[in-house]
Amino acid sequence: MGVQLELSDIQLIEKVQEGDLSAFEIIMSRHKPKVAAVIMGMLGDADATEDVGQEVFIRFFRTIDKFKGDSELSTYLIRIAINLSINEINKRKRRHYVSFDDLYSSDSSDPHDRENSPDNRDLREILDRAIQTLDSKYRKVIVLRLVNGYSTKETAEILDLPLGTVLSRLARGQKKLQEILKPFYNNEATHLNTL
Amino acid sequence: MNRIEKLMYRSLDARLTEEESKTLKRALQESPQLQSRLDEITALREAAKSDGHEFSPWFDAKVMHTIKELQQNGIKAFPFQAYRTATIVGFAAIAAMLVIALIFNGSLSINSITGLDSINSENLTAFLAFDF
Repeated sequence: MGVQLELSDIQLIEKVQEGDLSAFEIIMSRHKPKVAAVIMGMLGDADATEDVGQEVFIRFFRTIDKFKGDSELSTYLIRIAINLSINEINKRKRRHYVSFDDLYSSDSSDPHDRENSPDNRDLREILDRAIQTLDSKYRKVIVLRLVNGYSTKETAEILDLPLGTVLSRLARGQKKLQEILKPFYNNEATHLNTL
Repeated sequence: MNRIEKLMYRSLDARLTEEESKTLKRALQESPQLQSRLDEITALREAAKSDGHEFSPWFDAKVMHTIKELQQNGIKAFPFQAYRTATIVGFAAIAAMLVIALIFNGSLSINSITGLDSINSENLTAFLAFDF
């Protein structure tokens, strides 16, 4: 590989601009775990995550000259990932609407099928689906802060929002999640505490 | 959302002032319901933490393939992009010429477009000698 792995992101970008595609591969391998985690948090669907992830890096390659290094490259890529995820969410909304009730609807036609009843569903799955029902402005902060573990300051920087806005959206987003998950809490309090 | 609720949520993500902390602590002691909600949200936050997600093993190859294709197409597209204005003006001029030829001569033959049908071999010498 013609490019040293120790090079900084900015140095790698310069190499890419000179036509060295192996530098782009290093950038991609360096940042793809964070990009994948954010998109998966936003979409909750591995196939869509793969497609949107590809689009993130292709979009970055096409507009690489626009990256001026004002923010960290990871921040820049996550911004692209969030924006493309929201585009995907909007496309899905146009295709079909998912209501809160769908969260607890059983895949089985048998109402007595205990395996598929909400009580026995994995909390994580329910929580992921609950996050998918949130409005995108809440979803963004919940995914970055709660799912991906960015600090509130980092979340504010990635989303280019004031810290106060991030905190209030976090509060509202969490309250909405609690409301959505109320039926689950009632039955699974013990399970929840063991996770 | 009331003030205490706001404080409760904010306590999870930001540092409260001493006064705010005391207020929240007092409210939690007085309301088991509020304490239960705080426990719920704390557990929910724990459960929400991502274990990470990985793209498929062929993710890099797919991206690089698309990028190489883009580069090739970019090179092919370059001459048209660079001379786009000239190309558009050229096509517009040709289209205008064809329309004018059609209106004035009622035909789109080479002779009518170039105006050669008004010249024949018999008066070519006179044309070249006197009219040109």
